[in-house]
Amino acid sequence: MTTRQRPAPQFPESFLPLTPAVFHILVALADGEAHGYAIMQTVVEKSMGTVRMGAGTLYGAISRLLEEGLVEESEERPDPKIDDARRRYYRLTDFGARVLAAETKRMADLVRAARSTIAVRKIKPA
Amino acid sequence: MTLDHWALALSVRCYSALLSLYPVTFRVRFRNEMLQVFRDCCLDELRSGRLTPLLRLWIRTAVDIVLSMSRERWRALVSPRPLRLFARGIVESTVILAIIVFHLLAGGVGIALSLPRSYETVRGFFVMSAAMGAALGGLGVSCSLVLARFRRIQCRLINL
Repeated sequence: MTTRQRPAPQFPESFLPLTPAVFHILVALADGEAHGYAIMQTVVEKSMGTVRMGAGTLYGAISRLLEEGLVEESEERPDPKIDDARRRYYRLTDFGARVLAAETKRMADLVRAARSTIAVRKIKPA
Repeated sequence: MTLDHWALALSVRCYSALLSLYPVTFRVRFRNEMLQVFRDCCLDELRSGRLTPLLRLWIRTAVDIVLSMSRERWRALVSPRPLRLFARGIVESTVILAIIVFHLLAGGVGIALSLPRSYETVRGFFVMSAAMGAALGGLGVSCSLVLARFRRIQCRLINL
């Protein structure tokens, strides 16, 4: 296992479906670069507390995302007065953004298909 | 030192030792970041309450370590490597395993023989030898985990 980045393949669809952890991390990084703890906090916030990932799951997923070229490490370091300079920041690559968009579209299509069924239409949302 | 400081320091030390269970390449790359994230989580939990939230964090962390460590171990095992390195790894693992098993069995037999009791059957003797060998092995693993805490992981000869 290595974190060396390799050239990203051409087709974002080849990565689908994403695992829940990977999808949440990509969503957390979609608004800008963040360090590990900030990613964890964003995941909890955006999932309304339903998803809590541990450091092992987080960095295992980040390791794979770095290998696949979906995220990259930011060269910039925070101001030591504001934040711990030892923190590493990660950001979404262009290819990672395309994969996230493809997964979002896939899930939206699934939701649309599910909503068109009689069983779901009969149930009123709470 | 307050109870919170003590709990934080102990938690970080325990987590640091548990990180030894991950494959070495993963550890070298992410160990410091994981420690920092865990420390931040502990501080968060201690701010929100006292020890109960910290215990809840530890339960979540234990599950996370077991699952993610197994996943990373599996990835390290099946990751493509040059054939030469793969063959060397197999040979090294086999030789090291054989040496460890031989010494454990020899130690177990030695202890079983030196115990002040008589064995009525050969089976009883072998069971006692195996039990002593297993106990020695457990002690060895515990010691290696403690030692790993004080050694530079890049310099390890055998990667657990």
